[in-house]
Amino acid sequence: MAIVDSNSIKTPSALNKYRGILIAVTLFLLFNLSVLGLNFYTSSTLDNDAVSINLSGRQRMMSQRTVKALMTIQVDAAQGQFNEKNTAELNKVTSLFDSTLTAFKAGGTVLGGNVKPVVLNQLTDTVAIKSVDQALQIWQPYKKLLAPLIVSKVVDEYTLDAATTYARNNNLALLKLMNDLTTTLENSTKAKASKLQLIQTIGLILSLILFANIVFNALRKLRASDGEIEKAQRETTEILNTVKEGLFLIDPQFNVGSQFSSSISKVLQHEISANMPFMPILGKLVSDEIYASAQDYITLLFGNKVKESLMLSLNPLMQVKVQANNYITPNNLSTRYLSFQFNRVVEDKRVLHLLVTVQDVTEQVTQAEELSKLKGQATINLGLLKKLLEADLFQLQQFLNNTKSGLASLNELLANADKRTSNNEDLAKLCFRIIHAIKGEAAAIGLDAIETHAHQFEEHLVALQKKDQWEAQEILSLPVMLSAMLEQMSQIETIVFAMKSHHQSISGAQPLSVSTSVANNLIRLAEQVSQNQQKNVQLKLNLALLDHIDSKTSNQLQQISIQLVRNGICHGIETTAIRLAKGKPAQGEIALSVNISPEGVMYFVVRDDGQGIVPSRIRAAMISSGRYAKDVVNQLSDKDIVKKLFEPGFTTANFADKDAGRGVGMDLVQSIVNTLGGELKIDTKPDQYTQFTFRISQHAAINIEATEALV
Amino acid sequence: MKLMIVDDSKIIRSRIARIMADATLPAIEIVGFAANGNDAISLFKATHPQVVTMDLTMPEMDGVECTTLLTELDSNVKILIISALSDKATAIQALKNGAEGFLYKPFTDAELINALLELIEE
Repeated sequence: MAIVDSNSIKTPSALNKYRGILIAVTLFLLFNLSVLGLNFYTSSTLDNDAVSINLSGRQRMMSQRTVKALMTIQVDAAQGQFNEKNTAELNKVTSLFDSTLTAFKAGGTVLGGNVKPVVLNQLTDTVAIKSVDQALQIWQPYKKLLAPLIVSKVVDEYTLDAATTYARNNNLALLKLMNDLTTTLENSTKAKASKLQLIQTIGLILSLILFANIVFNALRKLRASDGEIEKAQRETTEILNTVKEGLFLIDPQFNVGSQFSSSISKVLQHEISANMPFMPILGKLVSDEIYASAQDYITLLFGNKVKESLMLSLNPLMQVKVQANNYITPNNLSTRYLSFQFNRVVEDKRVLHLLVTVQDVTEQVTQAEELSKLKGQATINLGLLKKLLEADLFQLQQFLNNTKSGLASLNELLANADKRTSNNEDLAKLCFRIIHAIKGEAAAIGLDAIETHAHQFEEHLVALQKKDQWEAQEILSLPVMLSAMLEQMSQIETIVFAMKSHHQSISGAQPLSVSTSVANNLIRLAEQVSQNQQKNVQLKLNLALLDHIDSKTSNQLQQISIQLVRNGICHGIETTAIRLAKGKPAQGEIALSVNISPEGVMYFVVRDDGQGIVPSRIRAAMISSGRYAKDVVNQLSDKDIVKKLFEPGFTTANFADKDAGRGVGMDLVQSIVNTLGGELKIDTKPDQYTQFTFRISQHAAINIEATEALV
Repeated sequence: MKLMIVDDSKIIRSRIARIMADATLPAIEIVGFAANGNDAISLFKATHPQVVTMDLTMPEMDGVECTTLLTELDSNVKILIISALSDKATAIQALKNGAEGFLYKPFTDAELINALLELIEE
């Protein structure tokens, strides 16, 4: 028995099972992170772009403030005034414009709107660079013309005029360039923003696709694994519904598990449900002693200290007799045998459950019991043989004869028992007398088995005698007991017969006489034929004189006997049913005898108590066989009909079997009688007898004489 | 490893001793014999065997009681129950009370040695 090991059922590891999903989720996260990074990067460049746009816008304003400051200084100068504020303004706006323009060209830090330094990246856009380059070309000379105005308080007219003239000529161009720069930067930013939007949109779509894929895969896997679980569960259920044995698990608290085979309730004859305690169910089935032992045994099994292989042979429930109220047909107490087997279900060296297998082994146990009973009988037979070998042969033969006839009478009495039910007491007394004699004789020889049988029979009869009315079943039981005795007797007879032959052959006694040998052969033949024909026939032989005549004659007589015995059984003796209907004894009789008259004439007589030879019946049989024409048959006289019996090939049988039907028997008899030079006479009376008498004297002519009864 | 043999039958005692001698198991050394439970307890206290072969049906103190007491004295002692087939319930009792192995009578040499080896291996 194998240890049920739950570890042996391999489940795929969690990592393996969910690998696909894990990879998909990782990819999803990585993708989202990269989209996020790209977004972040693009947004940060957009921040920088905003600064650039802002500052390029400021450049436009600065260019105009420069012109305004210059114009104010010129107006003041024309009036001979000097305002330091204007010079400071010019200084501030030109330096801001210059530093910003330079930073656009090469990158650098400039003061922002809130007077905090901001980093301006070098321009990368070619259109913007071109605008800046053109602006620088205009600005450099402009800056040189403006520089003396910022440094000196005394402004000479020429310098001022040169600056204002340059400003007037180039201001619009510079403004336009700064405006272009702003527009270019704004457009570039817009392009970037829409790129970012595109990336975001694509990213979102891709991530949605990925997510959908993950969800779909996960669902598919889940469905597949759910399907597997369902299938496994279905299979388990199918097994549990089909299996003939009671199967269930019990936990360490001895409670029945949630799944069990459907046959369990039938096997245990107890409704079983999940989590039901097992021991009370067992308690109802077995004795207190076995129950206690079983409880210890199950405790030990859960203990896991003693090896399972050792535990197996200690199982007190291996084969246990249970006497339970049949819950299907209540109040039907039946003895059954159950076999409980327990297997540990081990996980991590811990006994989680016991798998209990319950089988109804009543049939096996009953068979085993019958087998051992048969073995017992075999020893009885050996004992019987020993007794027979010890007994005196003559005495045994006598016992055999007496007992057989006694049993035959008993059989007859019982067969007619129903006719005499009014006189049961007498019948019982009669039976008792016979059986008691048998018992006594059996005891005298020491045949215990027969004595026991007879005794049981007697006891049964005594019990019956006490009753007023016999039940049909009780009367029926008597022939059953009788048949057991008859069987035993036939065994004894066989043994005694073998002993007799053995006795004769070893004692060196005379070889079998002719008469005995002929008798044995005829008996054997009669037994065989009557068995084949299903008839009950007994031979009555008086052949002692055969020992005193010449062997040729005796041999010929044996041949005749064989034919006539066979014919007598096949055609003469009726079946038992017919015989009983005619009021004849059930058993037919064929008597053969050899006598010699004082004049020295030998008479060989074969007589059966069968249906006789009836010409009208032969006629009908001849016609119905289809072998003879009706007209021809009806023209024959009775004497001719009887003569027909001795014609070669004459038969009324439709088919030939081992015993009769070939139409040679009587022909053979006729020819032998011819050889012996004898005379054959047939006497017959319908439904009573047929007698063949052979009168054998030398030179006697064969003459067939029909008696008056025939005609 | 020290072995004590407990059995009320002298034949069984000497048979086990002979099997042990023939098997030449160097790991096992017989430290004494007891014919009943009481003697077994005294002998156990004197010799401290690690392995015991234990008969179940014995005069004065039977195998189940003796097993219980020996296990109380030393929870590590390995006890091999040697019992007749008809003693199933008693054998289960002894196993429940601390014995770890058992063997049915009659046994062969190999069966006894295997049972002892299995007991020691655990």
